Amino acid sequence: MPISEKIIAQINNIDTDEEFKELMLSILAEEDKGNFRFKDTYEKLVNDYLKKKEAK
Amino acid sequence: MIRITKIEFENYRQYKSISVSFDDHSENDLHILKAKNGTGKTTFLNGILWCLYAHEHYLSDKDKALPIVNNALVQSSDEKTGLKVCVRITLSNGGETIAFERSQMFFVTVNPLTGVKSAAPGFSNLRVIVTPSGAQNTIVHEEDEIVQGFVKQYFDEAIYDYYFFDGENLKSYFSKGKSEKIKASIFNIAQVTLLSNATHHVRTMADERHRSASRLAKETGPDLIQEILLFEEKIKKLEDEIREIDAKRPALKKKYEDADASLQGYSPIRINTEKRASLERDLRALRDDYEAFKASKNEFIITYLTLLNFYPRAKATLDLIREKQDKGTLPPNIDKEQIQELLDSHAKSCPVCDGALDARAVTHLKMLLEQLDVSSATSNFLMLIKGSLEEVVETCKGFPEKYKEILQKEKYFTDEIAAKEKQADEISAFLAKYSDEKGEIDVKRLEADRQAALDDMNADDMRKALNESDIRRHKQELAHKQSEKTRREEKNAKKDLLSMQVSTLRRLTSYFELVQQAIMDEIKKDIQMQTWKRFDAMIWKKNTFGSLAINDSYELSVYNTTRNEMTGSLSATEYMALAYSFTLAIHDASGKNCPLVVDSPLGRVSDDNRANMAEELMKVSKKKQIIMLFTPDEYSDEVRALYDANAASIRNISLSDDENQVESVGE
Repeated sequence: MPISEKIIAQINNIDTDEEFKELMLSILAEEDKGNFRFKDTYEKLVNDYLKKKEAK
Repeated sequence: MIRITKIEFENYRQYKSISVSFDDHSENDLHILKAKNGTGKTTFLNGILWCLYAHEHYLSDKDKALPIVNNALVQSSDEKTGLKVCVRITLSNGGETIAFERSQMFFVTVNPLTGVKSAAPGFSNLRVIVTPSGAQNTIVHEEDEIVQGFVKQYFDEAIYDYYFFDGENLKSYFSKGKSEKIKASIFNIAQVTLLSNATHHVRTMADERHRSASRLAKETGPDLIQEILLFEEKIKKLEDEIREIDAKRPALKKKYEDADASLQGYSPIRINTEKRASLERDLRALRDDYEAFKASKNEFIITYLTLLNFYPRAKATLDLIREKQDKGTLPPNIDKEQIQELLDSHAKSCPVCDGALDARAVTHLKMLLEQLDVSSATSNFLMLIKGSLEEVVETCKGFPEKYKEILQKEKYFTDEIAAKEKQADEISAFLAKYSDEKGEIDVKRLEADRQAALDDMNADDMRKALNESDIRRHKQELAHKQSEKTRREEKNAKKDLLSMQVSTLRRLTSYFELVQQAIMDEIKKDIQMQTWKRFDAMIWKKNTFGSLAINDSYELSVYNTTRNEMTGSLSATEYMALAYSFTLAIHDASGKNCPLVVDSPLGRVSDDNRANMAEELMKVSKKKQIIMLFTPDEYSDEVRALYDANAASIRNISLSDDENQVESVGE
C-alpha cells in the first residue's frame, strides 16, 4: 500500500536534508513490503545515503 | 476513494443468482436497498461478511442456522451432488479494481433415518483479483497470507462493524475491548503500525551496530605511513647504490682489462702474467665446483639427519623381528586352519595328543585363534617393513665412511683454493714491486691499477650482494607494514562507517518516533473533532451536550454543558448518532475513504433525529459511498422525501413467490 499522504507531509515538514527524507520514505516503503531481510536492505539504503552525503 | 462497484451472489442463501451494481454517476454516492423483514437485508450484509471473513457476524444463531448454500437448490439436487456457493465483491480504488471472491463447495447429503436432505460443506477459498489502473491483465492472489493482507488492508475484520454497520446491534460498539481493536486497526490503516515497526527495526539495527562499533577499538600506534616511507627510502637508497655499482662496472672492468692486457703483452713478465691468468681460471672453476659441492653437502646432512634420528628405533625393531624369526615365532607356526577345522567339526579329541576336547579345551582353542588373528596381522606387518628397516640400518651404517669422504672433499677444495690463491698473490706481489731498466711500460703502476680495479670490483660485488640481501629483508618488512596499514585503515574505516550508520539510524529512530507521535495526535484530534461535529449535527438537542473526548485508548466520553460525563445516559437515538459519528470519523482519520454498508440505518431513531441523521448521512455520501438497507417502515416519509430525489440508486429486494430465493434486486 502506498505511504499515506499524512506521513509524507509530516516527513516533508522535518527540518533536514532532502536525501534524509527520501531515506525515511524508502525505509517505510521497504517496511511495508513486510521484508524479513530488512537489515540487509536498510543497511544498503543507509550506506547509499551516506555515500551521497560524502559525495556532496 | 474506495467504493463497491458490484456484489454478486451465487447460491448464497436466498441469493441464488443476483448481481447488484453500484454506479457512481450521482452527486450523492448513496444507494438504498429496501426489503421487508425476512427478505434478506441482513443476509445481504452477512453475504459481504462471509465473502471477506468466512464468518456471518450478524447471524442470530450460527449453530441453528441453515447451511449457507441455497436450501431450495439442496432440496432439488440428488445426493452427493456438488453445489458451489460464491460471493464476489468488486471494489474500485482510484483506477485499480480489486475483487474479493469466496467460493465454497457443498455436497448434498441425505439423512438415512429421516430422509432429510442437507449439505455438507467443503473448504472455502478466498481469492483476490487485482486489475491495476490502466492495465488489461489481472493478477490473481490465492496465497492465504497475501489474501488476508488485502482483507486487513481494506476491511480489517477486527473492526468489521465500522464498515458493515448494523443499526440494530450496537451493544458492544463502545466496549473497552472494542476500543483497543479500534485503536489497533486505525493505527494499522493509518500506517502508524508501519511507523512503529520501522522505528523498532532501525532502533534494533542502531543498537547492534553501536555494540559492534564499541567492540572495534580504533587503532592508533606508530605512524605506519612514516615507517613505510622510511623503508621505501632505504630500499631506494640501496637500489640507487646498486645502480651506481652497475654504472661504474664497465669503467672498472675496462681499467682492469686494459691494465691486464698491457701487462700480459709485456714479454719480460709474460711467464708470470700467463701463470697468473691460468691460476685465476682454475680458481674460478674450483670455486664453482666448490659451490656445487656445498649444495650436495647440505643435501647429505639433511638426509642423514632424518635417518640417524630414526636409526635407534629402526635398529631395535629390526633386532626384535630377527629374534622372533630365529625363535620361529615369526611368522607364527600354528596352523590356524587346522584349529578352525577342529572347532567346526566339534571333534571329540585332539588329533595331535589325543586328549579330550572338552569345553575348557574348546575355549582355549578359540582364544588361541583370536590371539593368532591379532598376532598374524602384526606379524605380516613386521615382515612387510623388515626390508625397509634393513635398508635404513645399512644406510646409517654407511654414514661414517660417507661423512669422511665429504670432509675429505671439502678439505681438498679449501686447500686447492688456498694454494692457488697463494700462488696468484705471490705473482701479484712480484709484479707490484717490479721495476725495469728498459721502462717500456710502468709495470708497478699497471699492476697497481689492475689490483685497484679488481679490489674495487670485488668490494662492489660484496656491497651489491649485501644490498640485495638488505633490499629483500626491507621489502618483506615493507610488505608487512603495508599489510598492517591496510588492515588498520580497513578496521578504522569500518568503525567510522559503523559510527556513521549508528548516527544515521539514531536520527531515523528519533524522526520516525516524532512522525508517529504527530500522526497519532493528529488522528485522535481529527476523530474527536469529526465525531463531535457530526454528532452535534445529527442530534436535535442543542443545549445538552457540551463536548466529547477520546482518550489514548480510544474510549469515547460525552460530556454535558456542565462538563459532567453522560456517556452512559445516552438514549438509543443518541447512541446511534454517536456510533455513526464515530464510525465516519474513524473512516476519515484513517486516511482511507472506505464505503459504509448499513443495515437498519435509522431503525432506532425517532422523528426529528431521523431527518437530521438522514440528511447528515446524505451529506457524507457526497464524498463517501454509503449503502443502506431499509425496511419499508424505516424508510419513512421524511427519509423518502430526502432520498428518493437524491440517492444514486433505490432498489427493492424481492423474494420469489415460493420464498426460496431473492427474485430481484431492482427498482
